[in-house]
Amino acid sequence: MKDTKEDSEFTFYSEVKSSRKMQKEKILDESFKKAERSKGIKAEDKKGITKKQPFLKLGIFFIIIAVIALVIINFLPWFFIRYDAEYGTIQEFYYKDFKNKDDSYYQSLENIFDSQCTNYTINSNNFIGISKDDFFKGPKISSNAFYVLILSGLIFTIISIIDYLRHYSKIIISIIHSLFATTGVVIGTFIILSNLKFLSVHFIIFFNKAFIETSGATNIRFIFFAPLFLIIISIAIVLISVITININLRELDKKRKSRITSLDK
Amino acid sequence: MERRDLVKNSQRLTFWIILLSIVGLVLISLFPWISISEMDEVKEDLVFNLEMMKKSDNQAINDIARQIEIINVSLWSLIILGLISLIGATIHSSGKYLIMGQVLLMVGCVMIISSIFTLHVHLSVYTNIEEHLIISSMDLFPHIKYSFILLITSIVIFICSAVYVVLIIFNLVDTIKNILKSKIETSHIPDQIEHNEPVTNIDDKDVELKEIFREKIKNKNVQKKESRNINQNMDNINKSKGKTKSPFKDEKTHENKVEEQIIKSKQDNKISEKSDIIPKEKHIDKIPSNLENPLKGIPLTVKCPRCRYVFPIEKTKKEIKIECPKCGKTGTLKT
Repeated sequence: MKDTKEDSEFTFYSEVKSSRKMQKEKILDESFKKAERSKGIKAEDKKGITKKQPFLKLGIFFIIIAVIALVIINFLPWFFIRYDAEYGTIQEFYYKDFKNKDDSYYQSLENIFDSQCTNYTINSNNFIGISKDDFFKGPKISSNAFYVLILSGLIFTIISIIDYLRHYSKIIISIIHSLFATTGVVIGTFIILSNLKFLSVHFIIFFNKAFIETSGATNIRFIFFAPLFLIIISIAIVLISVITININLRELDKKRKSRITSLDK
Repeated sequence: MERRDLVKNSQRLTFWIILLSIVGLVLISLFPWISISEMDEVKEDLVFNLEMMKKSDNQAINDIARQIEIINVSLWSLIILGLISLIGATIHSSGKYLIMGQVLLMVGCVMIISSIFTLHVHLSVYTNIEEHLIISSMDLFPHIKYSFILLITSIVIFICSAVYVVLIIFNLVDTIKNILKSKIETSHIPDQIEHNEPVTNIDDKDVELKEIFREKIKNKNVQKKESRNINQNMDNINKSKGKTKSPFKDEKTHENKVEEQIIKSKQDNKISEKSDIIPKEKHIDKIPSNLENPLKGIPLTVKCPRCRYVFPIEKTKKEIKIECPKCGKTGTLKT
């Protein structure tokens, strides 16, 4: 009986086995980590191999915003004017190419933009800074700038699609991203500056009120709808592009630092 | 100041230069520049903005407008150069294409010429306006002339670009020094890595990383050469096999084992070459020898309940009698 009791105490040494297994695993892990370090691969980078690259949407943003801007240029009134003439108060919306609903404009309105009074000593015949020509040239310049933006957006979207399928290096894509963002900054700034002359009219009207009233129109009020919206859109383009450049810079800097810290470990 | 800080500060300065240039361009076309006293039908001051000045019949006003146009162009050049420098900084911070990044950062140094030119033209516009008796600078606020505000903008741009140039020059000198240093120390780098010496400069680490990868590639090539030699040897063995047959069975089995091992190692090499992930088994330095059971049959490990001695046994039946080799305790093991 005693023997049988003692017999049952002989057991498989599972604990030792498991501890040995654990030891083996530990050795494996350590050596694996060592190998990784010597190769410069970090755990995060390894995830990146299997992880799908994010689809960059800057190109799509450019295209959408440019299409909206083109709609604004073509269908939104370029300015609204309200003034008191001899025959009553006139208020009208004018679209691009200086066209209103009836396709006609009053003489007094023409006098506001291109004054016929030349009996002053120094001043020109222009009192508010813009002429009728600006409503022909301005929309064309802005439209062309937005077409260029659409083109750059399309090119960038195609590059993004190719990258999504073929998984290019993150560094190259970040540099391309920054390049297109730079294009956005340049185009946005150009559109802002080409439409600013319309906004500056408000200041000129305030200062040159007495001279403008000699044209026969008093109490003039202007609202430049399309230029105002175009400037807002362009500011958005510039801001987003600058933020994109900044994000890319930080991301690349982080990536570079993480690569170096992986070497230190 | 560290090299990374130099590049980061230059980035910040570039942002400021771009921002100030855009502000300058906006201010130029938004607000009126000059005023002229009219004494004819209306006896008041007529105010001119840039667009009005361009369309004016007066020669003096036209000249000022042309000068302001030149300022416009130089501010645009500042924006474009600043953006080029930003791209350079982006490339530089990526750690790859360092030379290209450095070149683009150097191109940004042209900003100093552009800012000097802007400042010069601004000053001449300022003096031109002051020289004319009939033309006066526009006062946006009492005692603050508009052209003076713009002049301050171009002065700040000039200071920023000057600091930028200084930073880039320091950065360039540092880079040249590091390149020369790395060229001298290339032969000692492997020793440094073995001893785990702390690396102080981040860009030095980049150079070291490259060196390590170069060494790895070299090692790979050596491994490939070795595997080629093994293949050749194998071919020779196969040829000799065809001609002479060994009379001993053991030898044959030994050869087969060697063949199997070589085929296995070849397969492993192929897998490791294809993937970046290193197979775990390849990097075990030493597996403890006592893990392998030398006994034949089904190897088991048993622990003595008395002396806690662990010893290997060979299982042949369901119930086996065991005697502890250390203390001599006997018993049976049931499974």
